[in-house]
Amino acid sequence: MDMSSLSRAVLSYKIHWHIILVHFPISFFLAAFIFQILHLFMYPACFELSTNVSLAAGTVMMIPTTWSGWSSWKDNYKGAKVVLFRRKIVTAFLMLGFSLGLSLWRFIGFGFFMEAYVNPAHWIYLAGNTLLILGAVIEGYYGGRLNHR
Amino acid sequence: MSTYEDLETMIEALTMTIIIHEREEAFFRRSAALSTSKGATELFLEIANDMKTHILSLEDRKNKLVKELTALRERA
Repeated sequence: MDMSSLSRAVLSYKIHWHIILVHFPISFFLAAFIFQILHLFMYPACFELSTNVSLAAGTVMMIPTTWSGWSSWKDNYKGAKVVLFRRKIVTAFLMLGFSLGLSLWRFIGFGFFMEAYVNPAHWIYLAGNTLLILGAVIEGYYGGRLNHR
Repeated sequence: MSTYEDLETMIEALTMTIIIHEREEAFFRRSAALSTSKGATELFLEIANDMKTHILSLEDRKNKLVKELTALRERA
């Protein structure tokens, strides 16, 4: 083979939207978790507002992330019905539903810009944010097993 | 029970390996189609064909495992 003729080789990479999008809810949920801890131990109300903003952003980003994951599973993995994908899909939908529920509970129950006026609500809010981090860990674990064994 | 689970796990692992290899094969075929030099196109197609051969033998192994699992279940 004439190696000089390899000079015009083109590698056809695709854009994998799920890999791009998946980092956003994780970052926002982690930020929400950290701001809520700061709020619980350092008190300023602005920390809880930051939790609200981060949680809202993470919840919004869960929608395209879940959709892109579903479509990647259908297109790139031919909708393979294996345990790994089943667990990833169930976790993603649980996270979507839970983040939506937690946001609605917080924003409708206490107001978006207001600090929650009852003490247990702060801890319930932290527990909810912790569960979302746990969901992100599960997703990361199974996502990693797709490419690293 | 554990034999079933082991076989199922092996079948799942093989299924994932096949799917990942199919994606790689498709990548080399796309690259072959986009490359404008004959040498590059030929090389990419050779790689893709090698991967296809490998996928077929993996599928053969998977079918053997599926048959074994079915036979085990029928005997139980």
